[in-house]
Amino acid sequence: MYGGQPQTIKVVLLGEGRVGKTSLAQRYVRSSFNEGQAATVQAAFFTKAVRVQGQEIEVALWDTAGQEKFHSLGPIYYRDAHAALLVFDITDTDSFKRVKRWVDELHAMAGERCQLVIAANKQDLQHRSVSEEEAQEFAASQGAAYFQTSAKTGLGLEELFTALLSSVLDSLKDQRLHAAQGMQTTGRRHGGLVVASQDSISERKSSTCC
Amino acid sequence: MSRRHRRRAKDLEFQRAAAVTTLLDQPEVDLDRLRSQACNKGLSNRELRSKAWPVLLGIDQATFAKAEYESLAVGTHRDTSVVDVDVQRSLWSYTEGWSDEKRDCSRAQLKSLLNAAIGHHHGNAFYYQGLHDIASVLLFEIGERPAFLVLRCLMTNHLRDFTRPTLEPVMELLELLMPLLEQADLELYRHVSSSGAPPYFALSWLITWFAHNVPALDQITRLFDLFVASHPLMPLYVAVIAMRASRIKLLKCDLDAAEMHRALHNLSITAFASADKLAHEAAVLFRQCPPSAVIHSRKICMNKSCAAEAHEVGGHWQVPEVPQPCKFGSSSRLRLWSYQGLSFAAAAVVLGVVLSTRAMSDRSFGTGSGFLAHMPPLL
Repeated sequence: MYGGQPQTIKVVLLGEGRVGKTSLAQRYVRSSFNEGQAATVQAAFFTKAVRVQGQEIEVALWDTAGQEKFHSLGPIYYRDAHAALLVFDITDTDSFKRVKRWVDELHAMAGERCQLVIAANKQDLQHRSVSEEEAQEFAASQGAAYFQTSAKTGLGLEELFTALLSSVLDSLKDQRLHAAQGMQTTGRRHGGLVVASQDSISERKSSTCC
Repeated sequence: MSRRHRRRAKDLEFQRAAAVTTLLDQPEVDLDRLRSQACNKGLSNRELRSKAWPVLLGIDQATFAKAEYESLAVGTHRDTSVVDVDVQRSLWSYTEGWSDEKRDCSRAQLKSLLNAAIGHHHGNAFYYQGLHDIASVLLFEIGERPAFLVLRCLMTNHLRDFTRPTLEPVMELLELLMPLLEQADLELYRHVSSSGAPPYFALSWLITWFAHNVPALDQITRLFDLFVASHPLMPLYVAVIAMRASRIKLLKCDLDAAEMHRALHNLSITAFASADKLAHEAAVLFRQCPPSAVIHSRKICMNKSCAAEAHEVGGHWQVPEVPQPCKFGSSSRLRLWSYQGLSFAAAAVVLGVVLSTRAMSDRSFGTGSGFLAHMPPLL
């Protein structure tokens, strides 16, 4: 169906500043964690090749700046996204409120195609301020998947992305069934820096400039 | 570098320092010559920069009031918590081999410097993620006290469009990048344009004066010499020159917006041309093609930003406080909508109106800064 090209799934990371968006991306894509991760000033783009449901997938991950002031850049990155990964810091109630706002905006703007996944990050820390029940209930009420994660230890990341990608693939299959023709994919891009995961089928070298 | 080259570079540096010293020692500093020196050759060293940068910006260092600074440094503002978290994870550049204690000490100074400069403007100029990168270069190069004076001046001058409540003015300024690239390198312009990548890859270059991207202090301070002495849009010219210097790498990049964004986002700014060369060539391009010429030839309306209208007053660059009326009528405003996503952003503004009631009751981001409350109408 895709002429041998892997299916590209676009995921955008959104959330308050310093909740660990870049660290989650780095942990997932490069299996690394940097205690001194600097603030993100502009959106960064990562890719990772994985196999899900027996299918080759290229995850196109867009990491964004968290400051409220950068909020208006959000639509540029979440439009066309198959999924939005909304991150909050379990020790920071304001960051959970920010996730709620993103959920409102995405429901209104991104359409049903964009699946919402909430990551309760920094599970490695002890003094949590956002209760597990409240966060889970909120996610369930919004039809969003919910995962406990730690970019520092890697907790929950593989499970989160496996579930996210499976869910997007199922959704794409449904869409194909309902509209056999004219399905738009965001798979215009190909190539790129590819970092293979443990379960990826192969490590493809970049054919481009990066 | 051979011994002969090293000696020659040292001699050249000595001559540059002597020229700057002579200029600064005059009873009445010749600003044109100092500016020319800063743009074309650089200001040489820390000591000279601590004197020359304030002079170029028209700052009287005698206006520094220690008590005021100390009071502002511990004060709060809309973005206090953002400054806190950005400073906590800052200063990894320029501090290789430092102990944690030494880095923490500089972070404390950086925090004081930022809070004082932001507090000085009493809510008229806002912090943005990236201002801390500029502040760190100022701190390391000229010290806390002159850095405060320079930073607070820049926040309402060269950086004015970045310290507004939203980044809309910055997005508008980035519209000038591709027309400038077209002037500098037509083939590269066509290649990057065909990728469909909007110019947001240059966001951090512009709003941090490359401090977020150039990890070597001697290189970044050379660029700062140029920026302090130049029109506030000079970073866009350096951006274009840096892209041109990396053209072989970029021309190999797939015609794909995401890949192009990544290639440019990860571009090593001084890998293919030194800061000195970038500064020199950017100044040449500026003379050939000033912002007014691009704006006029492309009939671009700058409705939200002011930097393009910067002008010299008494030998110093000044940025008007409000955007100037568009000279090209309403049709050219459509240019701003040509990039994918902006129409979507406009729809988000509509949403912002709908949600503003909720935001008003939830002030977790500080006074008057509810969700989307800072998104001005785009139309």
